[in-house]
Amino acid sequence: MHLESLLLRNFRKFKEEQFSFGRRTLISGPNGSGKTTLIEACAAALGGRSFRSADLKECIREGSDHFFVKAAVELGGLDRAELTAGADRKGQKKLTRDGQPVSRRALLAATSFVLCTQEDLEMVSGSPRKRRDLLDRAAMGMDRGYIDIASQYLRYVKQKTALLRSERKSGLKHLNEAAVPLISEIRRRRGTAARALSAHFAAAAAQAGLELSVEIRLSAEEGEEVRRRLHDRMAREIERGIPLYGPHLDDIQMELTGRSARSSSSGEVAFGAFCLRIAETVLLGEAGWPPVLFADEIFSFMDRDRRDRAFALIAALPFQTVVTSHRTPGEGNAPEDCTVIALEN
Amino acid sequence: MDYGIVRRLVETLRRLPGVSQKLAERIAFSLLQDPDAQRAVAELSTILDGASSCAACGWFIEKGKPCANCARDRRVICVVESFSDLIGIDRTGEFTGSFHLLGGLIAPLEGLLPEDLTGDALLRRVEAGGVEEVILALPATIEGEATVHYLHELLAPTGVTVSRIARGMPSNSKIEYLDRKTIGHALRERVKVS
Repeated sequence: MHLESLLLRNFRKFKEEQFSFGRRTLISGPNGSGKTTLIEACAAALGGRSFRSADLKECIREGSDHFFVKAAVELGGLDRAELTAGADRKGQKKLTRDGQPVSRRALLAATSFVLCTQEDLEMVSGSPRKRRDLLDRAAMGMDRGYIDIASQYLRYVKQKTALLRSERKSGLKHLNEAAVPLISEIRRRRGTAARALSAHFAAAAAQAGLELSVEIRLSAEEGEEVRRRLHDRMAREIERGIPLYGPHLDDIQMELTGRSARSSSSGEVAFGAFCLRIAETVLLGEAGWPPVLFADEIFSFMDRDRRDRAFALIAALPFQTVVTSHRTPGEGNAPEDCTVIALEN
Repeated sequence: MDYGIVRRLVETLRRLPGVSQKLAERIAFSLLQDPDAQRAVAELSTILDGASSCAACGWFIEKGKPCANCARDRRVICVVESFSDLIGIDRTGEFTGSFHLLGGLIAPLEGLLPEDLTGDALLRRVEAGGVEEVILALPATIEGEATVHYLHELLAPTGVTVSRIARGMPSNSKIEYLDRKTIGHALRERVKVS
């Protein structure tokens, strides 16, 4: 995929501006100039969601009643599209592809991008949710059919939650039975994604000249074992009124070079998180969905040496990259063939 | 302006499925001005007064009259979620057995649990004898799969053959244009060339 241009209207600090993107783009400017906001707007147009706010309406510029962003993209080969996202203060959200309304699911199935942000540190050192997201994104990148499986599972969780909260509990075992193949498939695919990510992580670390590896451990329970676990938890689930088992709750553990995140330095964690995103990017490219990599201020927690290695890794990627930095070009952080978007306060 | 009775009429029509605001307004003005349209509403009321559903299969019948669906070949029963699914299968002309309207799927979000469906009536039909196969024509969703499991468990003690419709390649389609899930199902549920 290639992002050609982005138009922003009433999006946070931007009243109306258009930006063009090259094969390599550096967004530079001081703090508060809108670098992260520009990446956020790209993600809204390509993925229908903000990575900073739970609700898109929070992106509306002060004094306006709605925002609108429009991205011109090349989806691969000759397939070009105009993607838009908009929201108003009432919470009405609208996503379109070439003027036609499109669901977020269909949008995600058509686009391919990887977001690398400071929050990625949580992927290594935070709660398992971020790690589940990472594996789900990677699994989706390996096979877009995973979107259907994951959305069916999500539907199961919603139906089951509604049942556990109602007074009647009669369909519980039937719903559980229907979920057994979904749960097994999600675990299998997450396992495959974890192995692929680990391999690409090791390759990226080696390319950067660092001895760094990642180990991702997750539940491998499938089939009959899943059925038994679901059955064993039924009584407690009824008592608590919420689902207590399944891939949406799975603990996923991650170790960097054989050590837990707690015993790693913040620089190691930052570089580890960055390598995971590089691994995800390469994995998507190998699966036939060359992505756009958006890297937003990821170098803050890295020392000079790691920062240079990270830049070199990004520069070597055979995909479109969009990187933000509070440093201005000319300080040695902009490759020669780079499109520079210089923002001001 | 106070639209009074016009507004009430439009709002009532809007309660019907598939009726948009514009369509409701068009029908409302037609009903207020056109005697033909007024006669159609009176006829609708009479038809609905005389309509009922068959306690055995869920199909709609005229009160006091025998059920046309139950009169079909009872050896094979095709279970469908709704009236529109029944019409879809019947129009193919491929199925000559009788139907069973389930009245929904297991879907707690919509307040539907097994006891809200007509599974017990289906069991009674099978237990009455003469049924060789029950075909479950239910969607491949989590709600459909849960309902398949429920009906399979319900009917298992009777010994009747329980099958479900295949998922696979649509007619006149090329493999290259199908999604992987459909191709996967089509491969798994392949049939022998006879």
